[in-house]
Amino acid sequence: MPMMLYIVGTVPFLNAWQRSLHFAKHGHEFGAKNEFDYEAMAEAFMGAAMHPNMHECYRSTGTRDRCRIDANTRHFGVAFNVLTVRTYYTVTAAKIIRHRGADGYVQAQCAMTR
Amino acid sequence: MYTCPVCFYTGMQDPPRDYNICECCGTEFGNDDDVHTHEVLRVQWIDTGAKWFFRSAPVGWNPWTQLFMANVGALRYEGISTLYGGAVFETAKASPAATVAGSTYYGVVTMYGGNVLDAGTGTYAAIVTGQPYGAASTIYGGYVIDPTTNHAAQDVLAHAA
Repeated sequence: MPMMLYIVGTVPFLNAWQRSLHFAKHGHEFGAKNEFDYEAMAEAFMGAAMHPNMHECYRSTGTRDRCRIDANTRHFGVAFNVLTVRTYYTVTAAKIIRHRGADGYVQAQCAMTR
Repeated sequence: MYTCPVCFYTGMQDPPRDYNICECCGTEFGNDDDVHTHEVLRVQWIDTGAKWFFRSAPVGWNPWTQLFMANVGALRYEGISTLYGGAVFETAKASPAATVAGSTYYGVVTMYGGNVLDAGTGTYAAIVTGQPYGAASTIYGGYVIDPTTNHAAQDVLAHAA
């Protein structure tokens, strides 16, 4: 398996507009105080070390989005071109169940073509 | 600019994909539409008041006009008994009028086509197509009728707009 080095603090949203929008949508899910706090959480999540309950995959299309989910917390994030966050949110338990588990959810996200 | 397939806002700064979020209805594409169709999400948005999601809405923005201009098909009819103010839409072919959840009727009804039946007389109070129902913007009693079922979509309580 190739070794990938993630550096926490280098995975911001594409721009301030995206950061603000995603904070407005998801910031409350993490108790983020502001959009910068939320972005820091997203960065930390996308850069965190893998562990047995962290599932990750890559999309084969376009920018090869990297999707990951922590089965313990149901936190889910997507980064593209390694260094840019697309989104960071908490997946509902219902969605996890619908996809037969956290790994099923993240695999389905990686299988999406758009 | 891009058009949101859920609320039909035409000013999306990013395309409706790749976890981009519509600033109008708040739909996140790839997340919210993972399970629900765009139509379902639209109904949910309407049922919760069709509110602007992010920051301030553009000056003059009106969700009902936005939906009407997009020629949205028949909205879900739930037989809700009453209506919060706003617009009642109907497609050009007299399909069901939209309903907006709520418990009390307030405010002006802007009627783009559709039938308002006067409960007192049993006759249609107005049949207006493509024009705001501006007949004094006042409906004293009556029902909004679903033309396909002939059932009352909702009571419209006596109200002077």
